[in-house]
Amino acid sequence: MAVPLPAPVGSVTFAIDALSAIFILALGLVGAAACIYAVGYTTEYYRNRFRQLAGLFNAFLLSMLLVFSVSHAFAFLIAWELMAVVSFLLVIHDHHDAENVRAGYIYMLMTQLGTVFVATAFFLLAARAGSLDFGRMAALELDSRTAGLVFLASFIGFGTKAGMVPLHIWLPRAHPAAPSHVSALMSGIMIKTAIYGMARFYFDFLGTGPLWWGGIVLAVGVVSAVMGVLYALMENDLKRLLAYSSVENIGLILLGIGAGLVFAAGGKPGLAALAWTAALYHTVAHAVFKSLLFLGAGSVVFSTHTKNMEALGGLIKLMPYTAIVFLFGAAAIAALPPLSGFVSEWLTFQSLFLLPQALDGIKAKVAGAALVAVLGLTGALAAACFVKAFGIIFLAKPRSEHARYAEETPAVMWSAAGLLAGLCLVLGLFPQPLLAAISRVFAGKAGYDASVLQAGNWYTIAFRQADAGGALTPMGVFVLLIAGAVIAFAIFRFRGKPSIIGGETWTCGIVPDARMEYTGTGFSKPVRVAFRFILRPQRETLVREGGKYHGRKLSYHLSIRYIFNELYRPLNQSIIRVATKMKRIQTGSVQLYIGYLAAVTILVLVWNAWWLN
Amino acid sequence: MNVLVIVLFLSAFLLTRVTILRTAVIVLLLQSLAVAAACVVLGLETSQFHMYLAALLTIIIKAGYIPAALFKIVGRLRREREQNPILSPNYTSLTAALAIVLAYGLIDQALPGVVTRNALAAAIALLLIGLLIIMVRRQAVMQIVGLITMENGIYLLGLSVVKGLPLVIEFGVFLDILVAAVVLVILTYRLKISFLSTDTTQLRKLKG
Repeated sequence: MAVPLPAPVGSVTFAIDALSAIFILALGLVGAAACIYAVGYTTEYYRNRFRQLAGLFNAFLLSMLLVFSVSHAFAFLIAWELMAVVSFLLVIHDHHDAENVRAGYIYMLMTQLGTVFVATAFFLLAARAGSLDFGRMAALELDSRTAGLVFLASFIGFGTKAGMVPLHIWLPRAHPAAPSHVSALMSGIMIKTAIYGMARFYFDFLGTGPLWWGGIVLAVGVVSAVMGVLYALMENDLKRLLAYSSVENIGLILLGIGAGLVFAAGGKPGLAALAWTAALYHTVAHAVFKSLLFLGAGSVVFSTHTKNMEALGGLIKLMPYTAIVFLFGAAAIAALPPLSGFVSEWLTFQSLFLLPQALDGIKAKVAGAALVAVLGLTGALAAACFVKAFGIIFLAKPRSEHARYAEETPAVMWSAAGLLAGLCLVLGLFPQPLLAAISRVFAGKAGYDASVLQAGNWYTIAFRQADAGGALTPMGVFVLLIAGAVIAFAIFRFRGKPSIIGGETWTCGIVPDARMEYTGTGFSKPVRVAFRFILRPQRETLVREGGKYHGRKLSYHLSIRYIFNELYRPLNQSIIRVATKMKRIQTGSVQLYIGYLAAVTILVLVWNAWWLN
Repeated sequence: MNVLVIVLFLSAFLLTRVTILRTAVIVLLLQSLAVAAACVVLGLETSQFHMYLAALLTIIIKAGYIPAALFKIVGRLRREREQNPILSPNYTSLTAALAIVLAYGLIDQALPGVVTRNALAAAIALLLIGLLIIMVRRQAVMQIVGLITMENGIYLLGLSVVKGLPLVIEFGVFLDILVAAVVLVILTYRLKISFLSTDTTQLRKLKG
């Protein structure tokens, strides 16, 4: 569809192909749930510029839809910027908190930096194609140097939006700052617009490239996955934990994409399609369960007004529905069967297992195999992270007054999240329709062959090819789980009735209270110690008051070093240094400013008259 | 036409020398009248009706309303005058002379043998001298005078290059200069109230 617009834009074309359709599907699912959720959640904002919030929220949805559906570089950049500006305004909606405003500015700075690279990539292509239309760009044959430049520019540009390490620094700040239903969209869909952009570039515009493309994407992906999950596990702020977990999941998606690029370069069309399928499936699955988790976190914040996990606890008794839907999300993100995360992670594992096939040389093969081990580590740490999140928030006794008087949220809120929880289950049990939709993306693309994915029937997903085969039966897994549960229950039931004796918990003569509980910080300590060479934890214990043996009050402060933030320090300092030097010409004198103008005017006049003739 | 060009040069030179604000406004008024006269002369040459309209607008706005507003504010600023300017009047005049030489040089280089050579050179000279006045004078009123001088230069340039602009654009230009003058006069009042002086070097204090 083409919409004529006045010059210099020309006509803007909209096109929704199989690739756009998958992302629009995810946007629709998550957007609908977030909208329903917002009905209940935004009651808190009735006196806090509610109309602005609602309007911006809808503009945000529209801008993302535009990003997915336009087929014209200029319009894409406009939609991309619209999305950035609207989400910036949503991030600073609670502008009374200086931290939020700071987060907003860091976000704006980073996203603008990313746009510079995205625009560079587009204009490099447009200059060669002589057109801004995506169709013309796709038909282009590029020389390898230009293709490499376009690849790097688009990877850095979209990677900034995706939040890959080390360009992720805005993400853990900006996502928690926004209202929760917006955070759900930002983490669920907005960072996926970057994945869409990458897919658009690597499928349509660039085609198959050299091996190093895939290598770079794999390296960035694996660093993002490991560092993201480590920081998530260290975090005690619920929404920041989820934000860091988004960094990890972007890493997993990048692993899929990187493997796809490597396979395509190595001439394995079937495996390339498999790896891309893993990435795209994980994109949709992550959109669903991360939004679910953010909506759950929003409900917790809604009821308790705190994001600090150390102040929560015991909410399962007070907010049972929220707890159940949150548990679904946590299980899905920890890749437990039969939920959606399991399917996508299984596909990613499969593609990484087969990675050495596309590589030559023993070093590359070992590196490929090592990725599988790192992915396993990531999965285990992610599971630990969400055991911590669920356990600390919902189990045990309340750790503060905030948590003690929490109430269940309105039905409209938990049912919206419940919708997404149901989707997690559906995507986990019946992945076939979505997989079929994804395999349509590869139709007619050189270097990709989706036919190997078609083998399988309604209860199984499988891929076959001459050198490798694999199958997964989600229904079988599900049946096994049910059977296990039934057997366990039967054993429990028929071994005789257990006797229940009521009694008080014995705690050396004092009443058990919340301070005896396992804390979030305590839970993550083993990992912190094991990874101290990266995390560099620093502890500080202060005796505040009390005698030598009893009644002592300690304050314990723990911090970890974010090594990637330190990469930005030299940049920061040099910008400040240049700015200080520039300040010298800003004297504040009107006359001097006019003098600068006069000098430039005369220079231009003279230059025009003498040199151009 | 050449007489008018001489009058314009003269007014520009005078502006580089005056230190009393009222005199500066009177010179500006004369300069604007000369531009209006140039419009009439061009109207006679090309027999286009809208040139007379442009002359009328020039008289109303640049020779009428703006000088009136400036006279009013100058009346309130009895003690203000251009004391120890950044460049002394003698050097300013010398620089203005250099600007005129530069203007003729530019015209001869860019458009050799053009019929309206003198008018074009006068326009560019007015532009440069206006900029010069803004640059080397401290008084806010003098800077407004410099701005209007520049504006006269630009207007003259438009007249002598294309024999008058379309009426719509001229309206736009006049509206522009009117708004600018109004805002500047208001700001000068504010300056007087806030800093007890209209010396723009005081604005240096605003720097953070």
